[in-house]
Order: sequence, then C-alpha cells, then structure tokens
Amino acid sequence: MKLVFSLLFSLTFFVIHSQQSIVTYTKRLLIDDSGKQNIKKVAAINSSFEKLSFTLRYNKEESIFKMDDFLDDGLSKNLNTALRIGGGNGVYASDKKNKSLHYIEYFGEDYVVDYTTEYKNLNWILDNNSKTINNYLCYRATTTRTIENPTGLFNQKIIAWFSPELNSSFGPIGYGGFPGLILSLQIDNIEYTATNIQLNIIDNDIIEFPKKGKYITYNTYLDISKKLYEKMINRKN
Amino acid sequence: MKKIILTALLTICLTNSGFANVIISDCTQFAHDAVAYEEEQLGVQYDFNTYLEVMNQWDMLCKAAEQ
Repeated sequence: MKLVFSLLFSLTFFVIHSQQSIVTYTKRLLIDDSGKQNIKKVAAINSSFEKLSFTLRYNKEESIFKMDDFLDDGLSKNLNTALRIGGGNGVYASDKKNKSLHYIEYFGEDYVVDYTTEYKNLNWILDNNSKTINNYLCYRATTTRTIENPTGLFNQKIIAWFSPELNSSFGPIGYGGFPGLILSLQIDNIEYTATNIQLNIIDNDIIEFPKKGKYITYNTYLDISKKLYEKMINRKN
Repeated sequence: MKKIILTALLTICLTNSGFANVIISDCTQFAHDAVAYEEEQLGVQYDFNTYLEVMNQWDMLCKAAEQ
C-alpha cells in the first residue's frame, strides 16, 4: 500500500512538473508607409526569416523563449541581418519571481540582463481592437518604449495581441504581463506571430535556464554598451 | 595610393550591398554611415547592442581593407 501511494505521488509530481505548453512563433519584417524601405531588401530578409522559428515553452510559473536550431548552410548576409534585427537572439526567460531575464553573449562575454524594471515601466494602453489569431480571440495593447543607441534616443512602437482564452501572462522576447498569452508582438516593423500552439502537453524537455552569464541590470548593460562604443571609436583607424 | 586601394577594395566589397557611393573618410564614420544606411533600407531602428554589432562588423571590414 505504501508503495502504491509512493508511486502515485511520484507520478503526480512528474505530471505536474513536466506539463507545459509550447508555442512556435515566426518573425517577419513588415513594409511600412515611410516609402524609404528597399522593398527588394525587405523581401530578401523575409525569405531568410522563413528559415527561422522561435519557441516559447511555459508552465504556470515560468517561461523560456528562444530561437530554434536551423540548418546553417553558410550564413548569408541576409540571414545574418535577419538574425540580429528585432531581438530574438539568446534566451529570454521569465522566472518564478516574475523576473524578465535575457541571456546573451555580447562581444565575447556571457550576460544575464535583467529587463524586469524596463518592461514594468512600460505604459500599455488596451483598446477595443480585437482579431483572431490561430483561432483564438486576441485583444490589442500598445505602448512606446524609448531605446537608446549611439546616435540618440528613439521611440519604438510596440503592439501586443494577447488572448484571454489562453491562461498565461507570457509572450515572445520577454514581453508579457497581460491577462492572456501574447500571440502576436510587433516592435516597429518586426512582427512575431504564433503559428503553432500545443497546450498542456507532457514534454520531457523541461524548462531549464542557461547556467552561465554574469547577472547585470539593464542600466549596467547600457553602461557596458557605452564603454564598448567609446572603445570602438577610439580604436586607431 | 593606400587610399585608392582602400576605396577600390571597399567598393568591390560593398557594391553588392549598395554601398558603392559611400565616401570613406575614416572607418568609424564609414561604419556609422553603413549602419544608418542599413536601418533606412530595412525601416528599423537598432538598439544599442545591435547598433554596436553592426557597426563593429563594418568597422572591421574597413580596417581589414586598409591593411
């Protein structure tokens, strides 16, 4: 009898901890109305995007988002560009303490950048717009995020479509916090869209965060970037 | 002479990317121009790390061509 209880307990523990949902996202570059984009170049980048997909794996408490492995048939310049624009490199995680972490390799060093405060400061506006993505009714939320690069400060327009029908607050590239899973995320002209959703499946591939990387805040990360930039421009020509 | 070779090399390297008309005064400025051009072509605004990575790539290419 003791053995039966023990087995049942172990089985329940296993089922609870290995049950997770898996969402596949694709990324594409949208044509804007500025008229400045090189349409041929955009098409070439989008054809490189077709080689890339991303997976969000989550349970009730934590999530991990990363790019899937792809066949590296000698990185073309377009694929290289596709890889670096609009985020998606490295591993994005949301842990049990609701921290939004980004594991990246940056100029030869491994870092864990904490974006929690940066994302929490975003002022999202929910409107009445709705649409269906992958048969799930989604609602729209928009915000702007100020980003910095060596040439100044810029406002990024961010649009998230979340579905209250999917009981999770996670989403792609570390965004989330809505009463429903984000099925589409647009950052300026880059759009992530969910193409495949598998809910509550038993999967042996557990959610595991990378083990390496120096923990830094987002502001420290900006400081490091500024120092790297100074170093770069002071390099002898 | 060095300048002519550098310009010719970079023109060959960059013609496919549409950068043939960039005037190379120094590699840092060239790298900045290259990033700005790429941003405009794609209609995106790079964040700090992407900007640095792209800039570094063009800067290295420019310096390699110089040697």
